[in-house]
Amino acid sequence: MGKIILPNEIFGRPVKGAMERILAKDSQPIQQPQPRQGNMPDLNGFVYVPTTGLYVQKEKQLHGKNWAQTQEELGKQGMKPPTIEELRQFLIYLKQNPNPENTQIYNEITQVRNPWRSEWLDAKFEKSGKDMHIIYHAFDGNSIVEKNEKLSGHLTEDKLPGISLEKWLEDATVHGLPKSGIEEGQLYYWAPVSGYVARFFAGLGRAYLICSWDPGDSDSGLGVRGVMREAPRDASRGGN
Amino acid sequence: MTEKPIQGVYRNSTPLMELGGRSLYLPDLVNACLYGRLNLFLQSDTGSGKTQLERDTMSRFGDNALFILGRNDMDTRELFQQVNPEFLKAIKKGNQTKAGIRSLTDKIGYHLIVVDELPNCVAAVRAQLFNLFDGFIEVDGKPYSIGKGYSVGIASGNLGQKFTESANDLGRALKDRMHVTVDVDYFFQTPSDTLEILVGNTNPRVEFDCDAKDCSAEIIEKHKALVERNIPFEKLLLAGYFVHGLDYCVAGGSPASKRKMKDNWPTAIDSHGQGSDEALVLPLSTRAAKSVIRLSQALDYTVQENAGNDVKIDPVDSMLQAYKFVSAYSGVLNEALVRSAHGGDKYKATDAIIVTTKAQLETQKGNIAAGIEMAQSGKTDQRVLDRFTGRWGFVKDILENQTKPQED
Repeated sequence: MGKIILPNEIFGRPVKGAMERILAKDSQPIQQPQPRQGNMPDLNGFVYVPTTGLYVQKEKQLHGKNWAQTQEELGKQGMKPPTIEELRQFLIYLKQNPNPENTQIYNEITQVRNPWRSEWLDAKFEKSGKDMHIIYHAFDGNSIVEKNEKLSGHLTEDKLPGISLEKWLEDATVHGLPKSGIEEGQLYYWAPVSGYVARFFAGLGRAYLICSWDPGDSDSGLGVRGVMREAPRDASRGGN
Repeated sequence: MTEKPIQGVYRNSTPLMELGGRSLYLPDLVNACLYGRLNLFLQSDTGSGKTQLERDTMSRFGDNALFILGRNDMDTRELFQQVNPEFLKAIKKGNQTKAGIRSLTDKIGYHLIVVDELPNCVAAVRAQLFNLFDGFIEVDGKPYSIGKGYSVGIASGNLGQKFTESANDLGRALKDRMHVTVDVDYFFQTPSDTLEILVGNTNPRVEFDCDAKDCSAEIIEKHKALVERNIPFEKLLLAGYFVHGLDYCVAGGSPASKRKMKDNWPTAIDSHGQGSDEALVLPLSTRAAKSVIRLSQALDYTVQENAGNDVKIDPVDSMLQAYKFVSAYSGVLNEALVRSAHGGDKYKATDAIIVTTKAQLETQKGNIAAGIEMAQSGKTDQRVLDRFTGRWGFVKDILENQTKPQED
């Protein structure tokens, strides 16, 4: 039998120091953990997205609140807003699993029509030296921790109009942003700007993926869809 | 000199995939199957050019290729007659010693066996054909090798609904013996190809490229070189995911095995998993996982042959593309869900599985790197092992075994 040779590099990242990197995250979350509080939401109001292992609310809530307020309020419910990639995976799932409800949700988010609808996304952008970073949140155990990662490969210029919604759903950067060179289309795109946050908008005439919105803004049409992680399972009974 | 990809009479510039920034076409996939020694089935309606592609491929093997047109009135006797008339004569005589038969089978030097319209053949003939693909012939229950160490099969046919019924005899046989299946109708030639073909001539018959040189020795050498190549750990890990990770599901609120669920899959899957790949796909068999790795290695080889050895190919992309062409028609998909959620398109369904796999892998890359570092240290760390749960639970077992001090 051939001997398995363990590599020193995997998926383009060095093995050396990998333990320290993941264990450091355990002991020092960048943001204080926000344990879930209150009752678990009724799962009937959620769509489960297998690619992310997350439940996404079918309907928006917390209208009229700014970006930071929605983060705080959702945190109290053990939830967070979807990142750009989580929204993208949600849309892919809705599209690939068409039924009246999924189609209605997909259209509610993306369809160009009146009245306008918009939702906050969990993405803030900060310049660090020459690099643009994205700050978002992720579930880690029972905590929600902040992540700060360098962006790369994304479209850095506004496209008015626009990028192809379909191509964006087909392929994107690891952070869910449209890749540079993406096919043109009708989805207006505002590229990341330092100090600003992301939201998705659809109204009469056009739809937008906006990565440069004032986090202090609020409006009655602007809400947020909460996401929560997959219910914990007893892995010791695995069927493998 | 490096041999060019097939440039025969067949024309089709519809890409099957992108790998290492390069497009790969149907003749490239045929090449990869030859290098990987993987039996290929070309599924299609008539008139899609698959017979022409077969003929082009045969022309590269000179006299070392055998063409058989599948007919429902062909019996094994006639098949043996086609393979080697001397061989049939010897069997007819009877009283042949094992050594006598072997001396005849050794002379059967076919490296490539092409069967057009394979579904037309009766089961007994099909069984012998599959044996030929795998490099042996069966006489009185005893296998005798042919093809001097290298043989591979290409078969074609229009299976239609029959193909999807993996429970029937033909479906099972194909699943077992054909390693790669392509539904050519999904990668039909472009209008420009059609125009080029029509401008060339209007002879509707299949043409044989008489000028092609016999490249069989070169192809066999490439096969040997390919087999010697190291398999990246990423590929082994993904193969493990296809065999074990995709076996994981949740039923009745508890983790479960799709294999053990048997006919209860996919109906017993919990409701939230019904729209996911948990209900869409069964795990691969170990044999199919081997085919995925081999095809992935062969695709990498083909890309580098076309574009140079310095082309960087992501092993994950390569494995996922190989998975697509090994699994889509292998009977692992939930046909009902393919119809209801993917318009009956098996490739779309496997693309959805690929998206999920990529997303799943993205969440585990850091953990896997940490797990390897732990294994290299020779000391298990529960904090690292505990990160592999659910469909990634299989990694825990691999790491625990790799962490044990290795015996020389």
